[in-house]
Amino acid sequence: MSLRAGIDVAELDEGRRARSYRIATTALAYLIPGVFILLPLILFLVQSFYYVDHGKEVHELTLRNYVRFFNDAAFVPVFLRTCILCLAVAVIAVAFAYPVAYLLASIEGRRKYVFALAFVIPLMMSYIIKIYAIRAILGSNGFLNRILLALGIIDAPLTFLIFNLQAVALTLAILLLPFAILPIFIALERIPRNVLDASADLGASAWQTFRRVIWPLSLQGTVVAATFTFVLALGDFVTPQMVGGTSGMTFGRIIYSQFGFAFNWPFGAALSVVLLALVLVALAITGLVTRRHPS
Amino acid sequence: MDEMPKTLVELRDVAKRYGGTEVLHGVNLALRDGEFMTVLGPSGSGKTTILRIIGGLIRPSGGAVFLDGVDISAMPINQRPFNTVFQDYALFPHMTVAANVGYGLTVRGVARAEIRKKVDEALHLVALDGFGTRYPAELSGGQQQRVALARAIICQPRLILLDEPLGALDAELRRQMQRFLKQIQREIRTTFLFITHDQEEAVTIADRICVMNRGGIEQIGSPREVYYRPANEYVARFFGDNNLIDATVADSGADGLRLASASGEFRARTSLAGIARGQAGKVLVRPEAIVLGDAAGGQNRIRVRIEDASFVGPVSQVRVRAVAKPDLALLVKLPSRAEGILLAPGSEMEASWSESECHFVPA
Amino acid sequence: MRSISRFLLSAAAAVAATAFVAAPGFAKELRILAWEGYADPDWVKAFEAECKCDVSVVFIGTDDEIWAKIKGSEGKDFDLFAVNTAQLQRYIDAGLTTPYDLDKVPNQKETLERFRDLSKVTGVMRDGKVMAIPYAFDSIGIIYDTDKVKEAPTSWKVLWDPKYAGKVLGYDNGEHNFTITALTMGIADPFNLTDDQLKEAETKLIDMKKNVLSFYTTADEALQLYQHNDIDIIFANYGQQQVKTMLDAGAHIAYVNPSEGAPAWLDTWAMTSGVQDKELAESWVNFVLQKQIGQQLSERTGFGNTVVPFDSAKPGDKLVWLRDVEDPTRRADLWNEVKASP
Ligand SMILES: Nc1ncnc2c1ncn2[C@@H]1O[C@H](COP(=O)(O)OP(=O)(O)OP(=O)(O)O)[C@@H](O)[C@H]1O
Ligand SMILES: [Mg+2]
Repeated sequence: MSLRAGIDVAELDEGRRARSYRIATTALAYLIPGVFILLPLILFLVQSFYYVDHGKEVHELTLRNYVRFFNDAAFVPVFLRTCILCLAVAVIAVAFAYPVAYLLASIEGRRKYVFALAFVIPLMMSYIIKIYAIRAILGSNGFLNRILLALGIIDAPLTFLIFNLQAVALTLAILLLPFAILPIFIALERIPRNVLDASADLGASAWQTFRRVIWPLSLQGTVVAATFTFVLALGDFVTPQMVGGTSGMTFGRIIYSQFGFAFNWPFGAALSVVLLALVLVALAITGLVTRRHPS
Repeated sequence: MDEMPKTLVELRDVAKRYGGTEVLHGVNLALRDGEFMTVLGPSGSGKTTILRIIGGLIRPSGGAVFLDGVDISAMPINQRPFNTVFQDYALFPHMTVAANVGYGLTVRGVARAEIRKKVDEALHLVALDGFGTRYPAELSGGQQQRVALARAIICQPRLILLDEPLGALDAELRRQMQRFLKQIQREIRTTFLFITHDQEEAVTIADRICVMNRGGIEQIGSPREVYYRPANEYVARFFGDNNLIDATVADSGADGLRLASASGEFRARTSLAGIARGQAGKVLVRPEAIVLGDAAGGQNRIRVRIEDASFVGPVSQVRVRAVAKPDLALLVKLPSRAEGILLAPGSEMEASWSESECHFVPA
Repeated sequence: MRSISRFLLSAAAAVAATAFVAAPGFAKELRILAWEGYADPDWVKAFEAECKCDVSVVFIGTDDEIWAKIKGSEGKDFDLFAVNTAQLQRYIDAGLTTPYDLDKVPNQKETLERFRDLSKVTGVMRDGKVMAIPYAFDSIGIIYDTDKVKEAPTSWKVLWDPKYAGKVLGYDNGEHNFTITALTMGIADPFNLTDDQLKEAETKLIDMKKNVLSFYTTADEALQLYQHNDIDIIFANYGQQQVKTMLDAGAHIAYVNPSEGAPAWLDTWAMTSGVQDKELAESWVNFVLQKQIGQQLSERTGFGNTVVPFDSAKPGDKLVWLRDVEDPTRRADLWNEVKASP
């Protein structure tokens, strides 16, 4: 009798401990992103309503930073140009990433994960070195031009390869490739083999299976890949400067200069808030597109 | 009147190797047009492999597959007039039930109105009227199963391949689906090749059963044949608690066999050809064929002592042991009676069975 | 950038410095705060022997670090510190410096022409008193490819010369770009531009973009761009450091200070308000103004010294000592507009 009671108390205790443990972990799960992500964002938001007067930050709430963004002839066109550029980056990156992810996903067995990692990890490393390498390849004295000249394919170096917006789009697409490959790979990899067999079994050709089964089932991953690359490209301020030549002015670059050169943090914060709003819109669109199919 | 049915699909000496291991060897199988055949065997025996070879998902390493006498070994999967119902249904998660069912017609470029009509028919056939706009995730397991079936029959294939389609369902639903499948098969008059590793299911549903073991076929026959006339010890053991007694053929004549065993002589029948004197094997007696009691009058008799008796619902199971030779134990199944029979452990009596219920199985 | 490379070197130098701090012995002590390269161990040792004193040197990595150390102790922790003329002003304003007695620094009379009359060196004198003595400098000029540009350029105008369209490397910083454009426009004080002048300079800079292939941010980056592209002219923000980087890589280039004037930074020695032994501090400054040390300073750092002529500037070159500009934020904004313009 007393033994049973003892057990019950222990079980109760156990339950209480488990519950408080769960509450603690949940609190932590909210607290950590709260402190490290939300708090800086809020501080940023607040700062975007301050302003700088003769090099001094004035802590007085005002909309002038936002008004300036929308009224200044320089900013809105750059903002729009940056949006288009980043959309192009997303499209190019996904166009490259899809076939790569497809090949990786079609490797038999566990080896595919090894291959995928082996393929993706080097792509994630040494960002600056990659930009340098791309410049060494595409410059007017670069490897590509030298090879083409040596082969007699061209008489004069091609100068349109680099230091323009197309070069920025291409370089960013290459740099962000792993972020596009991974979500697509995961989506493709999650399609059960059986479903593909079923499609073929029901008379579909390889192309029909792709179009009617593989593509729709990997669409979510593809949209996520495009969003990833779009958002990451938006935030990049190094690549445009390094391969964009005199036309490499993007919104990220303008924000960077507010912090690095102009020492106008409130305005930089306001521009960042504008960028963040764009990112949220992009994420919302992704959410809408990916929620269309229940699965 | 018994006209030999036409052969639809035939496997000749089909083998399959993965690397060094042969998972199928020398398989010969003729599927008759319109029959319901089950493939029965333990896990890993090669059931799925046979199915996939017929369906065209994998190529045999040796031998050939024939359809109407024509070698189709090299025919691509999407051109074979067969459709498969996969074990986990393999429904397209992003398509509605109607789109899933109509898929085979869609990829063949059938007109939309036509597809809609046929989908409705197929859904009606599997009793899923009105489910067309749902997604697979919104269906129960049994409903998904029926969608998979509707999807497989809509193109009117010559053969439907089913790989343990009922494996995931609970017992009651399973029995329901067995009846349902059989009924549909009769209705659409299509050949079914149905994989299972449940003997009861195989026996209830099939016209013929193909028993597999370790990449080969042990026996093909009607449920009654494999049950009462197993071709070998493996099949005999596979179907339940048969009594098997070591014996050799003492004499084989037109009226039956005389078998010599350590527990005396038995008379048996066999349908197997070429059984010669001196051949070793087993005497097979089904537990329900044995009659207990001194009054009983089968040709084969042994004096036994009751070990124990247990009531298992409609049948009672009785364990007995030969008095003269205590290492011979037999299992007897008797219909249960409300009053019970007096089978006190330790009591002795005669156990007997008729010659027609006694079967010889070569080793 | 200059400060960054110094910062990188300072770690190793700090180790060497502690050796001297640790060497005890004399009653007299001199406490120096300086950039790495300005008080090398061999000079310190020689000075200690000559003056019978202990010298401790602390190296710094950034301008802000100097301010923190000097202002933080109200000048009490150090006797001498190295500082550029633009930065110097806030120390003088805050009363953190002590004027020199030039008679105690006889070598100052032997310095190069442009440094001899301190009243002509902007920023080092205040109210007739000498607040700092020039020590090292470097200019922002033009690097050109000697194979492709036959005649050495003499003017900033070369950046706009259509002959070099697509073959000019620009530097990505608003402040200096506006300064050299103002010099090109003939404006006397390129650090205090009116709104109209800024606007005009902006238009000119937009015009310059036609010639520019790309804007660089570091000397290494400029070299890489030069190596992989057809570059004739470089706006050399990093002066001799950049020249050295390129020559080491085997580039055929030369450096000029344009005739309109080359912006140049000038580092000086300043005495703190808390200087303990003023004469000892002055004798250090006098000591390092020797020809031999000047020569070594230039050879070791690549910077110009104030005693013997070196590569940074020929005797006749016009140098414009860098000052704080009228509104750095405004220049950064205008520079963004320049870069954003189509
Ligand atoms: N791709 C493969 N590579 C190597 N061996 C395989 C492969 N596919 C099947 N096998 C082997 O072939 C043998 C037969 O497999 P199969 O799937 O036909 O068995 P099964 O009878 O369907 O079994 P279960 O009842 O478990 O489904 C097994 O031993 C299996 O391990
Ligand atoms: Mg199987």
